[in-house]
Amino acid sequence: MNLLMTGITGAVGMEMARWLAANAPRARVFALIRAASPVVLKARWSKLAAKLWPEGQRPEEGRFVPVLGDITRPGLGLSPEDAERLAGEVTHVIHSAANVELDAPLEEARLCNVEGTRHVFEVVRTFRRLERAAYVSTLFVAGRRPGLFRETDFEHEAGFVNPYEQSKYETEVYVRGLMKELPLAQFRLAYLIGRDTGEVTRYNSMHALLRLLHEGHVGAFPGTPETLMELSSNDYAAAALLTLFREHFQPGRTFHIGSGARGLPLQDFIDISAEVSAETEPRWRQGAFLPPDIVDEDTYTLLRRTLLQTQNKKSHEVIRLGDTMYGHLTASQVFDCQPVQELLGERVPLPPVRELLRDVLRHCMATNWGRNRS
Amino acid sequence: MNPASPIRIQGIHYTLPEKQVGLEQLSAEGRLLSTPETMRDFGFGDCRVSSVPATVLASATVKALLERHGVEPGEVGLLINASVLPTSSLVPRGEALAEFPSGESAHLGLFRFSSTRIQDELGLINARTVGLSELGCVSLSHAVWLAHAVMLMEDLKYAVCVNADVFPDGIKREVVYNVCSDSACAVLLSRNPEGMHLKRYHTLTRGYYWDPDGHQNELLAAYFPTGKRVLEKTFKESGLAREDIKLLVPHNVSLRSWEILSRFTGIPLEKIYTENIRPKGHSVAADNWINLKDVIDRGLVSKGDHVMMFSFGLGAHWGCSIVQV
Ligand SMILES: NC(=O)c1ccc[n+]([C@@H]2O[C@H](COP(=O)([O-])OP(=O)(O)OC[C@H]3O[C@@H](n4cnc5c(N)ncnc54)[C@H](OP(=O)(O)O)[C@@H]3O)[C@@H](O)[C@H]2O)c1
Repeated sequence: MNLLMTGITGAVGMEMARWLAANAPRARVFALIRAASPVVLKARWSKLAAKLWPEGQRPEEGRFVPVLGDITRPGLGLSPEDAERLAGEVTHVIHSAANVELDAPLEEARLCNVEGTRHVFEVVRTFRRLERAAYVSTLFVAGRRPGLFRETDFEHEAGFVNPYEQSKYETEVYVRGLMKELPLAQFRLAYLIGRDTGEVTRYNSMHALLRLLHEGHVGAFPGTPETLMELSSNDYAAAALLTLFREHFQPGRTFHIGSGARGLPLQDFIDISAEVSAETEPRWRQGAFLPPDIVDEDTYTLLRRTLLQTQNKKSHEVIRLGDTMYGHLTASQVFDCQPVQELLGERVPLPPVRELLRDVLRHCMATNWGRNRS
Repeated sequence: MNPASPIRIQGIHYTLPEKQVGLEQLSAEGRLLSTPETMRDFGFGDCRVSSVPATVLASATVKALLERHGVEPGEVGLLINASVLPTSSLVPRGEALAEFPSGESAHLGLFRFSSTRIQDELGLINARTVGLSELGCVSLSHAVWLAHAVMLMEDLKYAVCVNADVFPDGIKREVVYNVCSDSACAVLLSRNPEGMHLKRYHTLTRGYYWDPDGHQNELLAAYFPTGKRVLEKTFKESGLAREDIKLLVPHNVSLRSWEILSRFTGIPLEKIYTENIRPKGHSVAADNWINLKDVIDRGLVSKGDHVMMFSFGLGAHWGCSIVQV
């Protein structure tokens, strides 16, 4: 397989690269990476390879080929030579690159996610040997749609919690249109919080929330104690996606990769966060910081309005972050991930989400949320 | 607390200055941090502004309380003056409403204590006097709790606790989103079995919040979850349930905060006496007792009813009591 991958420097992309190096010895990967020049591209790749594989365990030369490109540019900004090479050699595509900032303005999110995806598949159309392609999406295209969300659920009018997921939803609309002409499937992922070891490779909004909680700035969550949080690990997402892509590919299908009904109840999320925070922060042990309460939506709305009327910047930060995420809690969503779990069985087991959260939080605390890394 | 304690709360008297200042005027004088609209939205209206120092308000209030209950000054064995603002416990010189001593004899100005001045002025010759400070808005409730214990220990007949606070000129009157009034309130404790029974007083101090400026964000986050726990603990310790409580008598922090705490705790807002917040403002440490007197005078509670009193003081302290009227 000659695979074109976008987003290899991202949380999901890095894990897919590791998985491919370990499990697909015959695969050749063209990794589309943005860079100011070929020199910078080379440097980025070297740095990434050093991060992904310890010295002596690097895949042999030529298995991973960095290609300079930017998905926001028509033709991906490929050089004519690269464009021609990809068109003649690539058999498989996984498009994972995206702007995943939950609070990016909608136009910015659309530029990378909707337009970027359009640019990717316009190039993919030129691939003469294309066998299959994957688009990486998110379970949260469900937006504010309440209840069970299945692989076969697409359009809805429930609205969105943040511009990111709206842009991913709009991208799906485009991708589903493409399925008529390309051998294409899409993979919706859960919220990924780190590697199975607890290591966090890219910090996202969930880590920002964990930090504010750890520092005693979060007083309440909307929802119920049983509300499920759809969290998973980067390793699981990568292994599941690639196993499905290689062994269970069905053009036109949408796959749900996540914990589903085995997700983490909100109360457990809070309790674990408080318990782990107390390992290093005496304020938790002394009771100065308390686990946030879970309150109904009306109470949260009143609290939110009140805090926004104060001049407390941290409180505003908590509210703004919550605004990009909590809508999923109040919609009481459950993502149907059973079909994929059945397909994969014990070959790709679900990560134990409680331990995962514990390890991720410990990693965050040990590295001061990534600031202390050497 | 010992349920068989013979100590009772025999009477309450309070003084609210007549001068009322509206939110717009406070804002124009630079004494609010938020806009008047926000403070109005939070449930505040006018605040009361004193034209005399705290010590004068305090002694007038204690005097009236003792006269009303026919207690001779010489019978009082303990006087606790529990002021919140450090300037309220010092007797200012000259015309000043409140002052932090300065100049050549500043060092002696720091010893001009209000509690002893009240003893002298009212002839409370047998009263040991105590000035209680650093307790924020729980000052008066803590004073009552301590007086209760000292009365048992020393076998006293009467004790008086008083709180009086007057905000110095020019200082902000908005404290953590609450509009503060000047006031004085005095509570008489005795062994008269007809009095009210302080059945439980649960207190919690979280020293981490000693700096209300530096730790205000965390405090805002902790306020409701902690309040809920304090309330639940008080119920548990008293063996009473929410249904056993006729009214929750609050301190007059913002109505909005009570709306939220009501939802956090499941105590309906109708059961919380919030009517004094708009007309009277937040009388720092006196609210619970002013409100208790008002609900009794208005017949909203009758003899035998249980009321819960809840307050929070910067510092940070939480205090929650159950009193049988
Ligand atoms: N992580 C999650 O929790 C999660 C959950 C559900 C779905 N997903 C989906 O999974 C995919 C990967 O997400 P992730 O978590 O790995 O994101 P990430 O860590 O933020 O990485 C984003 C990747 O996209 C690349 N990229 C962004 N803009 C680009 C551009 N204009 N041209 C080329 N590359 C560009 C980034 O490259 P640079 O290094 O140059 O920035 C990076 O490699 C996304 O499609 C996302 O929607 C993620």
